Amino acid sequence: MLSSLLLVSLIASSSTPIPSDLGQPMEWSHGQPPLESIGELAFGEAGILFLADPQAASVFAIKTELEGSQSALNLLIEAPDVQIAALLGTTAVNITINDIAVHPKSGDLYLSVTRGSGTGSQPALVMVDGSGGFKHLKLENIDFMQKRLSAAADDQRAQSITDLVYFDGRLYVAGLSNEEFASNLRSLAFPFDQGQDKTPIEIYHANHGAYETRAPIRTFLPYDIEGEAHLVAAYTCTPLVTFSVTDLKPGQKVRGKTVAELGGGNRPLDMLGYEKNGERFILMSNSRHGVIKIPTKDIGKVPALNQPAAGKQGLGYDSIHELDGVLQMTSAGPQAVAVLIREPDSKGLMLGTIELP
Amino acid sequence: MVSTHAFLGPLLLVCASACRSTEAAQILWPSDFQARQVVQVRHLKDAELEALGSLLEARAGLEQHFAVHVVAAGPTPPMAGSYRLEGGALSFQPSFDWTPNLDYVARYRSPLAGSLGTLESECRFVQAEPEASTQVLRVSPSAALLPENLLRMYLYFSAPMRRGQAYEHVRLLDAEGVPVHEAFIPFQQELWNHAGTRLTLLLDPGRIKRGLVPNLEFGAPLQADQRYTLVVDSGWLDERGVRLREAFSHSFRTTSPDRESPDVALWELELPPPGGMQALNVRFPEALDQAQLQRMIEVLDGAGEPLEGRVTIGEMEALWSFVPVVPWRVGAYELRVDALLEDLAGNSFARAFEQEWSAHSGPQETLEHVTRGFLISDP
Repeated sequence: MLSSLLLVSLIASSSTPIPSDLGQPMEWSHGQPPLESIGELAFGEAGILFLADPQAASVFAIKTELEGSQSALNLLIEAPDVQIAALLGTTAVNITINDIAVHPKSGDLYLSVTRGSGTGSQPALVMVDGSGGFKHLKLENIDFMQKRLSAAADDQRAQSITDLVYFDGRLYVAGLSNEEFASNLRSLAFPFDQGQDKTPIEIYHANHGAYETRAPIRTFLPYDIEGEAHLVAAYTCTPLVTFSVTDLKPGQKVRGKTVAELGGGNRPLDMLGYEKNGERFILMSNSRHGVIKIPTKDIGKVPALNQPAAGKQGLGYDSIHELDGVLQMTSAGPQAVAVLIREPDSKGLMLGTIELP
Repeated sequence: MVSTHAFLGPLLLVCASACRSTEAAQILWPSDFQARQVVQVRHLKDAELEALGSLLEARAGLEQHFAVHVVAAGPTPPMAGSYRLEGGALSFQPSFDWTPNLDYVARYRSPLAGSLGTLESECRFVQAEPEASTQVLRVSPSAALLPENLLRMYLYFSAPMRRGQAYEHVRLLDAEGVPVHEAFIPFQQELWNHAGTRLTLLLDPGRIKRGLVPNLEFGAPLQADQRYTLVVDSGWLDERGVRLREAFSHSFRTTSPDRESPDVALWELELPPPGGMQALNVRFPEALDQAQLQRMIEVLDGAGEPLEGRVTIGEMEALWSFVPVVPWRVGAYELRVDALLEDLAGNSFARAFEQEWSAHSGPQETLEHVTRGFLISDP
């Protein structure tokens, strides 16, 4: 999530340094990164783009051009799937848009695309150019680093990567295994180190005081809460939970604080943080209810939720019904958000940038 | 107008060229669509080759003169790929595979001044629809009785499946044949093994866990003492884009919830005699997770070294059998079980799926293994 970049400067002075992992920092390789698949995207500092490769149980970092066309600023593209499919020599049913991200320097929109399906599928990184067209970025002759996540030693086990967040010199990777149900959050130093990946952080939160769970995180973002760096995580179930970043060390067990209960039947997809008219908000897209806007003035003060009850609890929110059908959402600067929408009426896709609500 | 027909196994190449200029150049399609083969413009004049060479060197504007498009109703970008000049021909190699049964058009416009015409050629790689042969082999857990707080199911297929459509084709029906509302939690990245032959389905844990909002609002996906049927329709496409050979269904009944961690002390061991390579059979009082059983139990010898051998799972995931590669010897052995091994409701040795929350205790220490010793002795 790009919002991490905006927060780096806000939080840098107050964050507690995290001990660096053992192992020498990795050098950049030059050439063609051995990408087997492509999933979530996240930008780091200085135009570094992180790509999740769940098939290879890896994350890649690549260097991207800093100069660009600010293509994400005023974007409105109908049927982007048809255009991207043609670029990749096929039809829209044969591609999947996995994620979108806006380059914080060049302002260009990047898309993670899979062409085909299964073992015959091919990963593609696509960019919107200055004229609103699509360009395939060949991953050749580029600087890259690959970090393997310790997992999958056999054919059956696979690790999907549900979200990536870069914050303050570390890449946080949330994953989900096809054989184990658990929270699986990794905190990787960047530049990556050469050592074996450490044990994931085990994170817990209370289910209304009665039971605790290690459910997998769906999406998360770094967030400054009263001067201290936190991660705000949204789960497949519906709570919103905060964790102090200083607690998130490899191999540690960390308990989070449940600050909101967003109501059932709703699955979070993406989150970003922003400020408008001096107030801070989190914008969250959902499978069911479009997008919700959560004022976070009280995120540090709200008592941890500990009473079983149906319906919304804790921090309140407003539903933004104009944004129904959002599939992907990412920050496009301090005032805008880029979205991939499946139009509720026509069922067609639309890629666009809109002002933050 | 020129037509070419080339037979290549099940593949038929159908191309048509329309020459709207007097130039001698000719577009040549690949005969094989499998390996990102090149499309060429041949019979180019020396002056054309020189001009195209300059454009290639400058890495600019070449696609204005030669490009391949997918034939579509509206304007689409040219296919991504790379250009090469060799042997008097201009070649375009696509960055991605050709798609069978799709129309492509290649257009060449000479860079020479005064050449106004465009050479155009359409092509389709025709492939006969392969036969529907892929099927659902089985489902795990396979028992007829399952706990109402069942966490996970695995669907096994005979061939790799296409990703991204699972939740449209799998349903869980209650005894009246009514689909259980959102029984399985949909993940954008579906949970497949690497080969695409096994799908993991998770019953919504938010609805299984007591006290969570989804549980309070919708109840658990499964209720005790009910009959359910897992149904897979035949419209699900395999990796080739072909429907399943037939629909699949699997019925089971539910029992009361299981909220207890498994216990190795309750396992029944059937010990093999020394000197042979008969199976060590371990029977559990309840079925355990089939995928985890394959890799989470080891047999250690007296020196604590793991034995090599073959694991099979039977009796509806309640039997684990191990056949070593070297004969059993008289002496002490040990079963070493990963503490994360789960039963069907997600209860592991390390922790039950739901643990009582204590504000003071904090998360408990991680238990890595549990062990159970056994002795191989002379009869």
